[in-house]
Amino acid sequence: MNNFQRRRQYLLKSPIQRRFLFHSTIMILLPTAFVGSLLFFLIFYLLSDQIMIPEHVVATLGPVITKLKYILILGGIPLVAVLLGWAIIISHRLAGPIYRLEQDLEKIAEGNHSVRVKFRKNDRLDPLAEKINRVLEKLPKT
Amino acid sequence: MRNIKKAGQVVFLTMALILIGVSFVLCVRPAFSSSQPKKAFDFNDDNALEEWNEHILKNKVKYYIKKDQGETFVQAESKDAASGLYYKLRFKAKTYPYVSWKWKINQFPKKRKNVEDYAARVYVIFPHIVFFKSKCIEYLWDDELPKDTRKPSSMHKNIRQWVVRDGKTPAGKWILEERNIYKDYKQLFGTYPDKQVGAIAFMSDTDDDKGIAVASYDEIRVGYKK
Repeated sequence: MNNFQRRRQYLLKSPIQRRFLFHSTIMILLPTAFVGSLLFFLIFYLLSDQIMIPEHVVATLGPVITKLKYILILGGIPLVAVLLGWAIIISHRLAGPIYRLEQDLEKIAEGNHSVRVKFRKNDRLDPLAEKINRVLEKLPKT
Repeated sequence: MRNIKKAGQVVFLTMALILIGVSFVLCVRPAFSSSQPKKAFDFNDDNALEEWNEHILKNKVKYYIKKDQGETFVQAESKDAASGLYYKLRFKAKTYPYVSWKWKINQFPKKRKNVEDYAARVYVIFPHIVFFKSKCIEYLWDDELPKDTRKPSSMHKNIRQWVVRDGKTPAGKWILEERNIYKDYKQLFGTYPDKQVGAIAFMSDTDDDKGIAVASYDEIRVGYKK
């Protein structure tokens, strides 16, 4: 993989990426937290409904909840970190090409018509780059 | 034209009568039935305990129907055990505030001070969908705590205990209890119940200090008003 193809900077100074990152984080974490909480309460509700005797409910489910808290803390932090990393990658894949195109167009607007637009293979935007470059070919080189 | 008008009047009168009838049934029926308990357990049948569910925390308390001097009742024999019987039912404590039962103690468990092994206890449970918000009144018969002691259980603050009989009540004698759970709830929790009663239960436990307790329960009536 050449230098161009490798992602070097995952967090761009781009408001678009920040917006993508924010929305993708919310879209990943909110449903996870919502479904997790629902399952948590449903399971414990059903269990307590089967045990019913209050002291037995506390004695049986209390230690389970304490263990679960540790598991959630120990497992939750890496999980959130992984999800955040994933969100950064996704947001970079979406915002990166836009950011690059914006920079290239800026150079072209300044009069540098020798610039050619190029995207990474994984961005899957080659047809767009090709069309822009065809337009650039027709422009006088200054 | 006159026939159509007449038919319309007949339909209208019929509808009105049905409406009055339904309203009468809905309004008057609770008034007739309110003095009847939502559920009564006389334990006269050998299979009377089959409709109760049991939860075992530590060893099984021996609950069985006993016949003695023409009476049938539930005998509980607990030896280093903690298992309780519960029955699920739903009613509003405000509408049907009374619960009553008969009980007697044949043997109190030997235990250290402040150990929560009780010869007999009756629960009124107010379940909440978030289980740790469920609340419960426990009526206790204990030989150590003075009568009318009210305290939260050491297990959870939402379990409030009320010693309704102490060691001064003679052992081996049937005692009838009748409690207004709506008022008792207010006394114990400071507010009236916002949830319905979801279950009643009873238990004789001796698991903490590995003692022996023998108690009897009979004529449990749940959810009525006077």
